[in-house]
Amino acid sequence: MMWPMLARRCAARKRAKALGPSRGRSAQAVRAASAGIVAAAALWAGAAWSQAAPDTSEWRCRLCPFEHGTQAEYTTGASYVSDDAARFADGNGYNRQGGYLLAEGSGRYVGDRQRLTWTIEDLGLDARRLTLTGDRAGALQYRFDYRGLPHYSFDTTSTVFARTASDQLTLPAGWLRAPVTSQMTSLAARLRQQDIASQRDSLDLGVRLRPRDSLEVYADYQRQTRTGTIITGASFFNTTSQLPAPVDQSTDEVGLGVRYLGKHGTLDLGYRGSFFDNRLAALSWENPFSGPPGTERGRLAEAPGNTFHTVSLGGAFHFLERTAFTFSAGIGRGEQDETLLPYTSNPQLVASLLPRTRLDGVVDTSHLALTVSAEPWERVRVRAAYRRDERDNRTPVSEWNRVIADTFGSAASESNVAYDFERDRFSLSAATDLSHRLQLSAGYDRTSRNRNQQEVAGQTENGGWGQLKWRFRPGLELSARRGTSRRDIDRYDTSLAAELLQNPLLAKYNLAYRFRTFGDLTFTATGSERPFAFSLSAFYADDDYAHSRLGLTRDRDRRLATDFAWTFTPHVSFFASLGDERIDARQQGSESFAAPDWLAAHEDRFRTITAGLRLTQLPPRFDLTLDLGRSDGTTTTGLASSLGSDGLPELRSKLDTLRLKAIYRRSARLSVLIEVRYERLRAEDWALADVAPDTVASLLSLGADPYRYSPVVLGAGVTYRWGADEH
Amino acid sequence: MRRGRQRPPVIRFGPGSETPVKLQNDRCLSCHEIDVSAGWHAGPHDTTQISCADCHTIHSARDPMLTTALQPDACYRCHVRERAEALRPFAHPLHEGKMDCSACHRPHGSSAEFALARATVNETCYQCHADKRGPFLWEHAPVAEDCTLCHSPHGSSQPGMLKLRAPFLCQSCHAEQGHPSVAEGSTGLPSGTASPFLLGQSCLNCHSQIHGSNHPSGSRLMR
Repeated sequence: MMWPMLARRCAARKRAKALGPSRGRSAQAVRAASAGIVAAAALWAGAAWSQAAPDTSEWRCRLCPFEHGTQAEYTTGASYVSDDAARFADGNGYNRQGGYLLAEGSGRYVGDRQRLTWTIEDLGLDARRLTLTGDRAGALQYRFDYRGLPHYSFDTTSTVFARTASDQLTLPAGWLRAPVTSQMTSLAARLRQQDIASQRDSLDLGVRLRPRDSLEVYADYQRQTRTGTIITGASFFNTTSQLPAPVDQSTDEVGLGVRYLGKHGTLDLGYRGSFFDNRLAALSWENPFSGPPGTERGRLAEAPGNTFHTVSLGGAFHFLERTAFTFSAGIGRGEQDETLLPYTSNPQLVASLLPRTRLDGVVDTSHLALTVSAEPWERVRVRAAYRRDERDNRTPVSEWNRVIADTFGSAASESNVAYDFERDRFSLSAATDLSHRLQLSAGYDRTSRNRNQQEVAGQTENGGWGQLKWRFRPGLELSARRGTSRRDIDRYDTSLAAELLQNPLLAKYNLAYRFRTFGDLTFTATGSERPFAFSLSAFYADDDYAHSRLGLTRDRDRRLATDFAWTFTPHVSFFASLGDERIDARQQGSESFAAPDWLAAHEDRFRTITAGLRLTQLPPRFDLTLDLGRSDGTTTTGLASSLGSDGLPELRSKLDTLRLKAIYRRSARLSVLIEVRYERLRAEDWALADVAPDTVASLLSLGADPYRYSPVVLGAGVTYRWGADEH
Repeated sequence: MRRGRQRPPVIRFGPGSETPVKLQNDRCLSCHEIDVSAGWHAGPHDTTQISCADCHTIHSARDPMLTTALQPDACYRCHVRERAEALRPFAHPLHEGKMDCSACHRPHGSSAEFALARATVNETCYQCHADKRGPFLWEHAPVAEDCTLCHSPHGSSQPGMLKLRAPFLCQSCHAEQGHPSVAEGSTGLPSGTASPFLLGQSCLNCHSQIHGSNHPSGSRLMR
């Protein structure tokens, strides 16, 4: 029993030596990582203090790999995708049938004063990623991170629009406008396939400089770009088209800060600036529908370029033993001053002058958070927290004479609304260990919100909860929690609703009175002999909007989840999880702009099963990972109206996944891998099913189909390792 | 150690350890306090007595918590509801291993609700969705306040990670004179009248600038 302990001590010594001065961050990490081992070794050393120190120079650790020099492994090969499937490729990049380069790898270099790690992921795909992180004797850390993230929505879409300029969509030459889609005689012949997909690329650079153990200065820069095509609706009052709208955006973000670690706490002062740039300020399109003169072309505004700056100061202090005080305060300013478009692109309309040519939009935000956590008595923990968030929209308010959908002018002018809010949250919680197996905790929360220009100006929510945790045997724990909260409002201002021509009986669910009850029950079991973990949890939350006559009236959430993981042997492990969720919501509406005359009952049901198997060196030289999953979701919507009961067909999605990876280690350096990935999705969606571009008379759609795909990805590659493996 | 003095207990780290969590974490924080910064003592994991080794694997070349593709599984061990939500048809690409929980959350704690990476829900979302940030000439009030009023960020059965399918989500808050809140049932399907209020993108077929419009004629979020 003594040898492993000696070996660990040996490893700790050798690693500390390899990483240079103890003041370095890497050495600190090693100290933390091996703290328990060192403590154990110290005990052993204490017991053997009178013995002569053994010569450890030739000892070799047999438990932990000892790093020095360069170690790396690279995999190269190819993969093949059996079918086109945009949705399957969302996030991974396997969007087209055919072959792809399989290239990935990772490595690290550990020198006397420097450590480098790098990874290469999916180099042959749009979802590629490259990272490099370095640590120079703990005094300097730096990172480079590039990642691509494809977002594929549809490859079953088609359109007649073509992008003839960066911000213009035009119809084919000779297009004959018609009042309804069924009369667009040239539609079928002019449709061309248009994928709806975008690509997000981000570059992340960061540096951390630690001139002293107690001081850290950091700087981060991130650039995100997003390009591609999304769906945008574009209407002319009573007709509309789904456009394949181009996207060309970038966001640059800079972060600077300094952290100080003192004897009694830490301080963190930071600045962050975010700069969003949209290279497409507007999008104009030709109207495929016939309409009044001047409506041959429309134009809409794209998301405006904007900036947001925040300065924050945070800290944590330990004034007293077992008492921590933390605070965070920040102010922010968002600005947007893009040149405004004219009221309309319709040359037949004489629009009035804009009250301003630029918005000069300014939003100020502020945050303050205070937290005190303490252990005033043995086995009693108390936490009190206060947080305030404020949004102050200082954008100038003007009178605008809008043109409705580039078709006709509005009789009345209207003012833009600058929404403000203040949110204060206070929470108090306490936990006590009634015994070493029984823990009781309880809390109180109060949230108040104040808003301007909305139907409810003041809203206060009070809630309380209690929780009992019972560790009735080592490794076995039962936890039960229950709570309620009530959200009161000062009044629902129906006069404001009336000004906006809203039904005065409507209560918006984020503003309305609400009574909520919630609870969960969790059982966990863990074993250490043959490590296993099992958990079973049930959760419910009931929201009642008892004072709402129109709008959401209730919401019920029921969830059951179980997890099981078992390591049979060091070479075999297995895990599985099951989930069952059901969300019921009820809402009432009024077609007659009076009392409720219809009711909708929504039921979301979602079941998931996942399972996985890991084999390591079983049989020798052979590793296998297998993951299986099934998720089955349904949404039903029942309708009861004064015209009778009706409903919508079930929305359904059924997803089966299989991922298998097998590795055969030919030698210590060379291995061969085979990957299989299979995914089958069957979706039934009434919003898309049988909706061709000309199905809806007043909507020229892109004709997207519900998702149905079942591609197989087969991959094979060779992995080669560099560097020594010392054990 | 002097003879006769009681030995301190050996610290055992991780799940199932009898060593008090505070003792375990103090050992780690003795070096890493500046890394976790001030947020740890304000965050939920410290409050709920989670030990560092409950999540981190220290004797490993690659700590799963520091690997994008592996981190969510480590979080799901406790956050089982979020695991199920991430498997829904419309979710952020956690299941693909291209995004991790710490893109939005600070597991070492923050003063923000839900231990978010930024001060508020919206500021967290704007990290990647700055096009929704504005300020716009015409704002949609709930958008400016809290993205999660309409979206389920951990996953949803509805496109756009919406909480409810349009038009019903929109009808929860809007019933305007002249634009009545119609019960859109099966008669609006292609087999019936093929309603533009129901099919395609429903309300967004016209009100496409739902996150706000900067067009002088965009007060109804159609431009």
